[in-house]
Amino acid sequence: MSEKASGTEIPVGPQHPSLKEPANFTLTVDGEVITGAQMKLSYNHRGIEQAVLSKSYIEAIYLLERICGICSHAHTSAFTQGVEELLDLEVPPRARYIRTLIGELERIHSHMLWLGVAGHEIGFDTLWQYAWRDREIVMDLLEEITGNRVHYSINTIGGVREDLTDEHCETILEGMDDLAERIDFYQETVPNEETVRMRCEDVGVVPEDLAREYCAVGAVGRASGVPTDVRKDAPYAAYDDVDFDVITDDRGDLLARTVVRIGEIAQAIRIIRQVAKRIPEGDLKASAKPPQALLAQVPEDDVVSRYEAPRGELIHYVRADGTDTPARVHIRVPTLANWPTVVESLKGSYIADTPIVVAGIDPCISCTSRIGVETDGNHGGENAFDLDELREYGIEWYDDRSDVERPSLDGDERTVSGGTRGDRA
Amino acid sequence: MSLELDLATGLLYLLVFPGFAFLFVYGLTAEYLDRKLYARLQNRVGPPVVQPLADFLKLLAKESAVPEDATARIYNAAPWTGLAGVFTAMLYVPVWSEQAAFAFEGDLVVVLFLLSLPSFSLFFGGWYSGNVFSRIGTTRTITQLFGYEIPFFLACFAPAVAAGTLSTSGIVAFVEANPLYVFVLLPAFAIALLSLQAKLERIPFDIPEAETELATGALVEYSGRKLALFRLTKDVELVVGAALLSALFLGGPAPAGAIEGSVGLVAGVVVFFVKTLTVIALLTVLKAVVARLRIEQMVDVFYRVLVPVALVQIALVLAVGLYTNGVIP
Amino acid sequence: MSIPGKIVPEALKTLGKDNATVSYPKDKRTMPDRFRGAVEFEPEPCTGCGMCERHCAADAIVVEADADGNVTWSYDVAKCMFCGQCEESCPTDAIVMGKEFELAASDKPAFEDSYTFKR
Ligand code: SF4
Ligand code: SF4
Repeated sequence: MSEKASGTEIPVGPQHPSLKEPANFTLTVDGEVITGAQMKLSYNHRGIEQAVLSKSYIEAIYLLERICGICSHAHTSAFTQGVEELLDLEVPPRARYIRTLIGELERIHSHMLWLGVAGHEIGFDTLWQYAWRDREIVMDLLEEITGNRVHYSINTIGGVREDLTDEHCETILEGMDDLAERIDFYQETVPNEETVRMRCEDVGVVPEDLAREYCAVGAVGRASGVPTDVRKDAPYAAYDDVDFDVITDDRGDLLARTVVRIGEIAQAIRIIRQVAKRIPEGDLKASAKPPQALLAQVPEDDVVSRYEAPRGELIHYVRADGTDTPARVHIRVPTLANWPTVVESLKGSYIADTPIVVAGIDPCISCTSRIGVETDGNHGGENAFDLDELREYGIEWYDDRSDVERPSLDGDERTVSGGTRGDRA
Repeated sequence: MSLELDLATGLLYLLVFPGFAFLFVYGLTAEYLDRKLYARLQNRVGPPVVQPLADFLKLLAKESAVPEDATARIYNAAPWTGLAGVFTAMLYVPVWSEQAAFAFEGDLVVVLFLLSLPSFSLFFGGWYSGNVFSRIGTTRTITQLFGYEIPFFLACFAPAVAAGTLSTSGIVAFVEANPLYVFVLLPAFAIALLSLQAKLERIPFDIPEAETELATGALVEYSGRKLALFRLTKDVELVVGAALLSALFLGGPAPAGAIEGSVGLVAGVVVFFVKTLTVIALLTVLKAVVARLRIEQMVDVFYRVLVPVALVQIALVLAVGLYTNGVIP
Repeated sequence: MSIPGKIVPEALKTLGKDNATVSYPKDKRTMPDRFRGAVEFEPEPCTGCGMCERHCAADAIVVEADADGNVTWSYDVAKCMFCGQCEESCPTDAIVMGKEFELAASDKPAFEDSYTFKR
């Protein structure tokens, strides 16, 4: 009794109960099976990159923190690390440890959130409620340490703003004991629950070569056997001082992603325990100067800063022109890197799998909204722009509007020839 | 009994107990208990007692839109058919004694048919509401119907085979007389429970209405009064299904059925509540501990696992029957 | 194939647990010491230097001085994003992050706060 007419198109989104953020998937279905998928992004362009240009570096931290309500620390860390590199500041060890601590607490909070969402998407609401209840352990810790559940605002240029007291370290260790117990429970039950297996095993498979070709990042890449992790590849903060494993799995399906993420929570607990036990004494900031004095020293230069956000590699590009406001900030969020794998792995799945396949990369859709990106998985659909077309479009746009001032083309040469564009096989 | 019934008693059965008024109240109460237990299993607070009634009244007061693309007549009539079906079904299910309000030889078949009506009404309502999501939802409703009906019928026929009658009341009387059959029929009870869960479209079989996939599927276009009716149908169906299961597999009013007079009547009603609530609690716990399956997995489970088990169950019942009658030693 | 329902023991155990949430607004949590609520301002120490305005990414603070040496410090809690940078940037500790978090109001002036003083 399945609909035999092939080529029925189902729109999923931009408003759809399974997507809490605006994105659109046009699924071509044959009965219950998806034969083609297209996605449209950027329904919610927020112009945050542009807004940052009118603010000083100090203010930009708090604006960029608000790109995401989950990995806020990731954005501030990536940005401040970049600015510190521009300023040639040496962040003191205690501050680096605190950044690591917050970063890992945030990773736990993000992964627990994902576990709950994944549970909800496959109709396992009890798992959802449990995961979110247990997530409160880290939320409370974060609030206690930083003063806010989500926007910790603990990073500043050259260090951190709040110290860690001995009582904090004790509460953290206690919290980690409670949490470790819960994680054991999830590790034991979730991947072994038969109905979860039925829904996740061999669903949304991204084989290793596809993951490499599409440059999948974070847990998606690691679940496909690509051991990418900025914390190991280019250690920042205190990651070269603490022991942890990069969790990988070679199955590449949703079950693997679940296992990897739960495993990463366990690793995060390990890191947090090390930090709480052996955080070094010392200053919190690289320089005692008031922030405005620091900003006056930013040289004319540019920098690329990488950070392993809970969803994968996050890149901030900052160009400074010698004033106290940045000349350009560009952000490549991890979700953007993972979309192509979603479109690809949707094909051949069942309609019923759409929500969980989409949720499987832990997408942060509004963070991704920058410019129109449309992909059918073949490097761009009919409305896609390549770089030259985009440039042409821009020139035409300004030709039509004589009253709008053209941006200066001075920096052009460097951005184009700068060796940050990887080769694509 | 049914023929010499006078009109007044008939109306009383129909409108008050175990008919309309009773089912309405008990249906909403069952929904409350179901939601509350589900919430407690998840460490949530859960709704207050009046919540189901408040939801119902609120929906009644809301606009009940008919989409432009819908076939209005079928779309409007669908909610009533399902509701009428489940209300009628209850009259053939025994409540306080082994005798149902109305009973005749073969009424089990009628009850099973009437219990399928809500699925069909959902199908017609959804299909003719002219929405892509509801079409997919209705396709799934029907696919699922074919999945669970056969195991459900087989499971329900197991006690019928044991009792040698197709009358619900007759089966209750038989199981009451031979209480050990409750244990013999346990596998059939389990199958019937799962099938009932699928019939009610609850997790793990809430595939046709899957909120995160189809935005409630067939019901997507329904609003206001008509949606209220559909939801009431679900509540009443839950109660009637639970009553049917407790009658067929748990011995109905036993052990209270043996008590004479008005004490027996009260005891029978108490036993009825205990047994139906047990069935509902089992369904709720099941809903809380598993993930939703996909439609083809659901059909697979019912055909590959439950149908064979149901057949074995019937064979078992036959063997036990032959043994107790001394045919085989 | 294993039997579904791995979390049945956990679910039944949960039945005996207390609520995981407090029933706001009847009960309220106590906020941690470092909690950042609405900004609290003390005109005494303020020099009118304007550093808070300069470092407020949300433009929630405006500091104006007129020719007679009157300083007007105004704050709009509806714009504030509670980052605490103003507190950190103020050289005289005139600004402290308070504990107030129930800030909803239905008229706009209720969000605004303004002090005028002589410097
Ligand atoms: S807390 Fe932040 S947003 Fe609020 S007034 Fe101070 S600097 Fe501005
Ligand atoms: S509050 Fe502090 S930073 Fe703001 S004007 Fe007064 S002294 Fe300057």
